Amino acid sequence: MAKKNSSSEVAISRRKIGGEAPMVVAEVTDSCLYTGFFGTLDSARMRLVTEKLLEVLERTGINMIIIDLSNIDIIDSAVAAHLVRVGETMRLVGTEAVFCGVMPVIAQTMINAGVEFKGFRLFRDFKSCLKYVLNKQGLMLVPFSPNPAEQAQQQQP
Amino acid sequence: MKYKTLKINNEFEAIHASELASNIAIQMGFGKLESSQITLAVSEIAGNAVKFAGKGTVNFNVKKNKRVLEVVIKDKGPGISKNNKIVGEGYKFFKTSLGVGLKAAERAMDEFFIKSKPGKGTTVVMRKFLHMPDDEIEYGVVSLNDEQNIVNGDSYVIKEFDGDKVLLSVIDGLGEGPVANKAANFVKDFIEDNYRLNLTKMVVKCDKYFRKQKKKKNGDITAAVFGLFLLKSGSLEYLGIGDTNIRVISKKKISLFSKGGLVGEYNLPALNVQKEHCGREIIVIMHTDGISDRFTDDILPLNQSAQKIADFIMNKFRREYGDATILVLKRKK
Repeated sequence: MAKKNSSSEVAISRRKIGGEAPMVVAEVTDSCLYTGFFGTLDSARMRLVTEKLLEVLERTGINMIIIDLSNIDIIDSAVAAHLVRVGETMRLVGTEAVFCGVMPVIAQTMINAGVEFKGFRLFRDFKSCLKYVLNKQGLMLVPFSPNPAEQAQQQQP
Repeated sequence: MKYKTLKINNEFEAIHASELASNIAIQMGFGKLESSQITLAVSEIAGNAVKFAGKGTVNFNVKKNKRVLEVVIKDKGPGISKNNKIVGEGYKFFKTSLGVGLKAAERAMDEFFIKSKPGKGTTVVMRKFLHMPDDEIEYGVVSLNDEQNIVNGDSYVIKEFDGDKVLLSVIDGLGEGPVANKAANFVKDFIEDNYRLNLTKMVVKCDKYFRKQKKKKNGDITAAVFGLFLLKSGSLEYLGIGDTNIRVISKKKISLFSKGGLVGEYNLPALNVQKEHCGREIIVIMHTDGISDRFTDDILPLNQSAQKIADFIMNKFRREYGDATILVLKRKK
């Protein structure tokens, strides 16, 4: 059943389509993680995602996690409600979950089903989410000086 | 349109089936959300088959002139007992995702049937109807409550199904405010759950349902008047009980009438469904008694959109008091 394309395509598609949770997890800072889900988030995959998230939380020092929903095609209302509960579980553990990328169509499903993201910060996109998270960690992005002479000076020890 | 039976033996193949479902859906003309819903439903059910039965089969059937996608998923696994089917929402998510998955699939599809007996395997039949395109059929609705009431005692239903049929209803609950609202929504929910019944059965059953509800402890429900209009490709049917109005504008002269009476209280009048053949081009106007029926066809902006027609009638013919609902259907081809 796997398409006989280049081996890298097969490798990617295999990872995408099953056995593993459809998600990526990456460190943003020492105490903040990013996670993005993609594709169809059905109940079975939501379980895998939940297991993986809670597993990842056991790492000490994580006090924030960005949950990016912008690559989800569809989420069922019960699954969405469960996702909120996972966020609440994280809160109990001391990790703040911050959501971004809720697509309008997904938002509509959630509202119609009465799913509430009470007490959670929601951002439109990853960029604004990142700003908030860095701010919370006492960090900020600072540009290098625009003056080339100054920049050259800075780069010298 | 025939697709070969797909055998699924593991999770990868179950997901592949869901992706195939999405491709078929898109080819048929389903939108992105709808095809995602189909993917989700197939993913859930096919996933269950593999998980609980080890393997299964997936069949795709495109029906009704390519307007309905039917997916049949079978397995010869342990089957689902009646109790198990309900399990799965809420905290039990972790214990078993079976019930959650079933419910999710059901929510995602228009029709969902499951035949299962412990030890005898499971068959799930699910269907999604293609909406009729805007250039073919459009609707206009305005439904307003009387200023004195907090809620609307009127309600309405627009239910497309089978890719080529639509059931319309305007409903007026008996009483005022919350009481009327409760009755109207009672009927609305009933119609939406029973849209396949023939019109007579629908009224009789609804009436019975009202009475059953009244016998319950908190059964403080009144009654309602409503009209049921079913439009098929070349014919239409109408059954209206009480003070509810309908007007049909088409090449062939069609006059439809409602019968006096009430649903949910007293005896129903004799129920005779009016059936007529009709052309593709047709405009149907239904309204509750909050709108005066003193408008003639020639003053209506019939060449404008259904919504504009509805707005026009509401603006010019709304009565001084009472909840008012106007529903316009315009089929262009």
